Amino acid sequence: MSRTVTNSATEPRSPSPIPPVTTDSKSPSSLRPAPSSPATINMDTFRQILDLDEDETHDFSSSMVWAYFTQVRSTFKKMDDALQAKDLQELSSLGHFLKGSSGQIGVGRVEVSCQKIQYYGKLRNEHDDGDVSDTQALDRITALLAQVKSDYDAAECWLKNWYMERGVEGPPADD
Amino acid sequence: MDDSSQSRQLFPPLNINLPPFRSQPQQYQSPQHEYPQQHQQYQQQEYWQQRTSSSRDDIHQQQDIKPVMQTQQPKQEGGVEDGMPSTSDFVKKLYKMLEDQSFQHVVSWGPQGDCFVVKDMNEFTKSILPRMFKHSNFASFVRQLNKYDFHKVKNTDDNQFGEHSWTFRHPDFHADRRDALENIKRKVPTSRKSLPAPQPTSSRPLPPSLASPSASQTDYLQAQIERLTQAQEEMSAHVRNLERNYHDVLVEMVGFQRNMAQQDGLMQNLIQYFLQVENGKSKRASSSQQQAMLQSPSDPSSSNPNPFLQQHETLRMMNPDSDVARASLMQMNEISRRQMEFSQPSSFDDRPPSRIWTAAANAGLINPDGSVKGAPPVPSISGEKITSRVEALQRIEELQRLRMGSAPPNIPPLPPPPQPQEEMVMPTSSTGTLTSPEGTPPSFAWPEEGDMGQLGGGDPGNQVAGAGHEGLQVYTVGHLMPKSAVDDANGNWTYDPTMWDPQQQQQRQQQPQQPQASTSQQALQPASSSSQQRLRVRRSTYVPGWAVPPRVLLVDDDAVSRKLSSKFLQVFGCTIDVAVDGVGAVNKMNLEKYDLVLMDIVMPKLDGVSATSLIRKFDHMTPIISMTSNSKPNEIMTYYSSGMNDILPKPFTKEGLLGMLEKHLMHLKVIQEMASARVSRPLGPGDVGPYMGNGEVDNEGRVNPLAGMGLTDEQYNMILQNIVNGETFVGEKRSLEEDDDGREGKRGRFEVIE
Repeated sequence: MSRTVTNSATEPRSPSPIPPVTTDSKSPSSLRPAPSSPATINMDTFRQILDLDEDETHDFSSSMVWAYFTQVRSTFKKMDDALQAKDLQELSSLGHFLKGSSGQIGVGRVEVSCQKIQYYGKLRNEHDDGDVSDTQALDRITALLAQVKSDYDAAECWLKNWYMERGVEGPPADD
Repeated sequence: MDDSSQSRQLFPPLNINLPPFRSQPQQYQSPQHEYPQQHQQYQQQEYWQQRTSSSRDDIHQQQDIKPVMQTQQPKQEGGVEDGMPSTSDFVKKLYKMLEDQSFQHVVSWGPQGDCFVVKDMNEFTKSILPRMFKHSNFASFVRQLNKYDFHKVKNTDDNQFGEHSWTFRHPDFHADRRDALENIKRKVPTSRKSLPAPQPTSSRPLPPSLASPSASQTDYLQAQIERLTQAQEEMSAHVRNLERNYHDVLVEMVGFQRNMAQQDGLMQNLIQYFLQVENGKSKRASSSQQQAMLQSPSDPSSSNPNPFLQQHETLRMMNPDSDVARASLMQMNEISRRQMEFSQPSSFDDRPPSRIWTAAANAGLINPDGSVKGAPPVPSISGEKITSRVEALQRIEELQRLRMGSAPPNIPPLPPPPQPQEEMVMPTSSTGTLTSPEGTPPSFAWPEEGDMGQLGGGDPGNQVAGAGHEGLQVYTVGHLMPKSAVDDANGNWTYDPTMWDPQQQQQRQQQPQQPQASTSQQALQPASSSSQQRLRVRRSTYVPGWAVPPRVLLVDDDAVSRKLSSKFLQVFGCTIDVAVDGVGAVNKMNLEKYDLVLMDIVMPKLDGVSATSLIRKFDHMTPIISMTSNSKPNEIMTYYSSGMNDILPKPFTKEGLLGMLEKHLMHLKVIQEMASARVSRPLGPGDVGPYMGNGEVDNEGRVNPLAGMGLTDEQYNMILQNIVNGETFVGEKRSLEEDDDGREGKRGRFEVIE
């Protein structure tokens, strides 16, 4: 009896430490896996890249971001093709590929969605590890791809804006 | 009598043999309370004993009443009473019973006459026992037999009386040996107890109604239980005792450790305190010495506000002719050592004989003058100079701080000229601390800084005798700097690449001298090239100081990730080679030797796991670290089983990557090289010991560069340890604030109080 009492007494206390963590977790990359909408840009990760810039011109980071833009677009194209061909395996590996670079730049939402594409491409359900059928997977990937693209557009917009504000030239007009 | 109540035979045939139990309760006092049921048993047994004794009384009475009946037997004509006067009544009755032919069908002598047989126990109990012994309890009868040392004979196969017969035997109980009957005595209870042997004859299972083990056996077992119980009691008490002792020891150990820690802290405080005191003293005494210094032949240019200074050293550094220095270094070491030997016993005006002080002075504030003079006969002069030097250093430090305060550190074009020189002066901690903003570049160099500052404006041709110490000074300054490191302003310090060209030249000049200072420093030199490269990078991190730039093979198919990883690696001072897929990685590993491989997993052509497996066929050592975003447990198992050494989850952070590098490239770190001057443990690739480890000290073979200054190996080791632990590259584990605190704490030692 007394134990239950103490337990219930400590329970109310425990929530208090938790909230700080969750508020902290807005930016930290460590909690990125949380599926609840990640920030468009993970500033911790992005700042890490900015730290590599040698001066205010942001030569390095901007070139990286521009390269990322190019890469994403070409990957999207490949994904569209793979979707058309119902090539789930290819979709999965493309999702993985895009997940990697997006995560490294800090484009959180794209990263998360790409991870889902990666899983569905392997006919696995991300959350419960259950299997999904081909058609289910294709349906979901179709939806996810649309989502990823819009997420990416937002991120690209944000990044371009960020650099524009700092007087950095936009990406080379190759597209 | 024959029809006496049958209920008696239903009595539990518990204990046939009583005497032992009487003494037991006293003997095993302690366990008794733990076994109440046993106690109860004792009482019951006593009860039984009383019963039997009363029945024996009955027997006696009966005997008196019915002697005639017995004497009617033909063989007993001699008179039972007269024939065996000393024979006990029970035995007599027994004998008579056996003589009685009317009982032959129930009980009789055995075939050989050496035993008697109860052929029908039920009949015997019903008819004969009541008649002969006034009771109808067979168990009592058996008990009594046992008391007289009759033994039940185990039924044999050829038993002609049926398996329910009971045969009893006594060595002296024979049908034809009446005279032997008097040897049959009641056993003495006490002696009986010591009889270990339970009656072996009774081992045969008894009839169900009498199924209890024989009394002696029970007795024996119970005694054994008692003994075991007691033994167990003692054991558990012993164990408890041991546990208590163990606990005490643990507590004591903890206490000891705490005390040790406190003592350590106290010692450190003491040392710091002494150093401060000594500095204070030297400061007080310094004014006059400064005057002397001013008049010294190596007097700097008058334009310089800092009048002290042996410029020889700095000049020396500028001096391209480093051969002189090289040649003289060994000599200088020797000289300085001798000088120390001489000077230590002698007392100087303001220089206490304290060894700590000496060590500190030598290590941090090298006394070039002493070594310049080199002559044993003039120790006092050297002492003075040392103190003056201390003073000078403090001044410089102070000035520098002021300067730093006034000049915004973040503006690259304005770095004060002396600072670059300082940096080049400290080759030992070169790459790491130099570039790190939280490092302490300006502060450590102060001795030279002053010199260099003057030098810059002054007379480079002034290089004179100082050549010899150069090696020494460079070495020690490099080490001590972090300790006395001061400047908070350089937390944001940045280096302008353009400022570096002249410095680099100087650094290069200096390098040839380092090897002489210490063999361990040789390894440092290669780092300078990469450090220069790195120095141009503005960044808020620090970089590990590599002895040599680690060669890293980066395997990744993702151009963006590759670019980012490359940049990180570059910033961390690595030389990078790149492969875009597993096949490329395997080929590169075949051709080149790398210190580390960062391997993506999902790649075209050949994935990272397969590539690692292939590489492991010919390269078992090179650490291969998987970079992947797929880090489920089973996947990680796959990675490790393929031969990978570690996992760097993607997207990795700067700290994560750096941690990985430091973990697996421990053996390439500058500090490790320095430490290895004393720590003989060679670190293999992938060896991930703590910094400095606690390796054994290798006194021979490695040079203690401070030996010439009178430092023992232990002291030198301590200095190294402090540098390593306190100030140098400790990675992300150290926060900037801690650095500042540490510096604050240590700065006071050399501060000028004016």
